[in-house]
Amino acid sequence: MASSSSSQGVSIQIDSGESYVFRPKTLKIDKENLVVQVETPVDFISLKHHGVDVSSYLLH
Amino acid sequence: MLNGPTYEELVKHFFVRASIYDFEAAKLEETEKILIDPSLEGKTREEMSLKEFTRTEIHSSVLGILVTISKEVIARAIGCPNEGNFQWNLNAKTSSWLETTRNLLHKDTPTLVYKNMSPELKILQKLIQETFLLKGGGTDQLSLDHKVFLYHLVKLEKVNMPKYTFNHMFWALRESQHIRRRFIPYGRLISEIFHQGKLLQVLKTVGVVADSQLGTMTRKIMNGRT
Repeated sequence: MASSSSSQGVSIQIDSGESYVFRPKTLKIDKENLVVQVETPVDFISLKHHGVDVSSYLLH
Repeated sequence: MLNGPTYEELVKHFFVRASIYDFEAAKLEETEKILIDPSLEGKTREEMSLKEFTRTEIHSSVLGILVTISKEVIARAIGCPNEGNFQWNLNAKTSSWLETTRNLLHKDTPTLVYKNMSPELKILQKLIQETFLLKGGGTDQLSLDHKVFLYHLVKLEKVNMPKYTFNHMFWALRESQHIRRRFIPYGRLISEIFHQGKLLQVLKTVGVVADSQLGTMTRKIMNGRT
């Protein structure tokens, strides 16, 4: 597996000593047109205050 | 974990260079090797000096550094075991889940529509769409796969989050490559993987840390007003 001691199991090799890897683009879309979707953080306390308690479903 | 910054530029950089490494890609690798050197035919991958194929991965590089994402990598990044329920691509007409989810989620109505849901379900549904299985477009109709996910949440059953996440990322990448879908899901998770892989530290040492270069952004929080 591609992991190094300094990255503690996450598979990004930064000190492999190999030369830099340049990969060709695989998407035909222009980079500017891409939209990054970010996960929404949830304020459970605020939701509970407004009468919707969903923490029990998710935090256990 | 979700409360960190997202490095939009890095994520885009990662995504436009990402390629799917699955069983077919591995087979293709072997075929290429054999074409170059026909004597390798019938030999094992190891003998062809290829890495053994053990799992499906997404390969890419960020500023020249190789990045690999797989279910296991996601599991480690989010600190969640790679186990639990996973149902995907269910047949929306014949699956036995139709009956099961219907009994729990929408007994009285023929279809589960957003406006008929209880407030708790609405929030859970929004959560699924905005955090777990990010998708573009409206929130009104749910696919059976989403319903099953919701069902597991309501029944307090464990879902295999790393598998769902990887599966979704894989799907999104394929859609982008084939039909030019514009959305990149899990911006935050990918950023977290960069962070944990010490990629950001390396970038710091070479001086690429300005927020504008990394495209740093943060997002709204889902609270009582939503």
